[in-house]
Amino acid sequence: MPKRKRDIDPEEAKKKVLEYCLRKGALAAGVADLDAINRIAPAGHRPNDMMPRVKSVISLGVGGQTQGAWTVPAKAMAFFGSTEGRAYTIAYGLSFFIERTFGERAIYTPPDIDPELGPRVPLQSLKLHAEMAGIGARSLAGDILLHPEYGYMYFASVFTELELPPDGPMRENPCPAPSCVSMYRSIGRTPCMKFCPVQCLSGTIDEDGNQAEMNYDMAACAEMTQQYETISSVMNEVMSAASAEERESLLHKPEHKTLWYKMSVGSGGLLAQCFECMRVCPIATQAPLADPIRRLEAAEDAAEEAAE
Amino acid sequence: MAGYTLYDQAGVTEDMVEEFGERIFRMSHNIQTRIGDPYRMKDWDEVDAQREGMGLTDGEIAVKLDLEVEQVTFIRTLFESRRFRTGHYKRLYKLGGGKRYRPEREN
Ligand code: SF4
Ligand code: SF4
Repeated sequence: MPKRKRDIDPEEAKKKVLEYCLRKGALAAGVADLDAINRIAPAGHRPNDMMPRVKSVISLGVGGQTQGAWTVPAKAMAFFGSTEGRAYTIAYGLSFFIERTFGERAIYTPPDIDPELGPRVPLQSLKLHAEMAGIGARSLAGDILLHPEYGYMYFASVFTELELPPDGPMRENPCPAPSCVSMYRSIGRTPCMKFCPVQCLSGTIDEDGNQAEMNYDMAACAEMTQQYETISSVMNEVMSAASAEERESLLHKPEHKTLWYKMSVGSGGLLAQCFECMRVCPIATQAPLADPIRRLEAAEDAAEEAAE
Repeated sequence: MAGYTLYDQAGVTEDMVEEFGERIFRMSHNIQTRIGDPYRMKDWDEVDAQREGMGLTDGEIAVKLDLEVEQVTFIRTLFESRRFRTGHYKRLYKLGGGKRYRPEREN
């Protein structure tokens, strides 16, 4: 336990915490409502299952890739498309900032899986933290969070014993975008549903243009990200091969050999990734501040307006 | 130790995988259905009503199926691996750079 009890103004502390996030490169940051997280997250995956005296959950989001990244082939983007490492670095720094500034305990929340439960169950839901902090809302693309200004972000969380006033979830959900509603009215699907390479998304939109139902086959999506059971599945196929020739060809076919390459160079933190639903999502790609070029243009517009 | 497999340790037989695998898989968060936007709206009745649709934990599934949680975890993770198709990933190789997925091209 910290030795001294300090007189901290929670509003002031929150301001400093959020300023830190933005100064270090986050596009958005907020404090999640801990009671709401506890109400939603299942036992074993609540913040106090990780940090017993947690009082606040801070969530921050960094921007997705550059505008140019959306133009490259999927097999290339798989190597560099996600920017989550930047979010984790800021969160890591924030946990130190909180301890040295306020003298209250803080942790970088590991975004990792629960080792007791296999690779599909995270220790904590960073998505839920971000949603309850009001920096993203669930989309029809398998509940990927979207933001009306920043589009598609990567999130990181910090838990702390510092008391901070919480924000609420976003008032409006930007998904589906108007163009998605039009497409849905004409063909019964939205762009993310239509162009998902394993067709793992479906859903409905109500008469007011809001999400009515979202269906997501996460297991099929996992096959495209390759971060889950690919290696062990390939090994199982290799070991069950009927002949030496089959075993050899399974082991050495280009996409399988590439897995060993990726593991040996530690490629991108994950083995591979799929961005096809976000590639066609108008919010992810065209939100006003979705990429560095749009943010530059917005800053230039603002400067021009101020000069007039 | 001869004959002492992970099945034995988890107290699971192949018949149990056969009997419960698909159900456990569907009750888990491998398959998710959300109606409306209940988390954002903090609609607690709906949050509770949709727990199974959004995916139960192994502990919650164990209670519903009268199994031990270790049995559920074992069956779920085994079933996930058995369903996993390693060949789908190469679909991505043809996409991007202006090309979108079209199911008709798969055949
Ligand atoms: S990441 Fe790929 S596989 Fe997963 S939902 Fe999006 S388009 Fe489909
Ligand atoms: S393409 Fe984007 S905005 Fe449109 S429905 Fe899908 S996730 Fe929502």
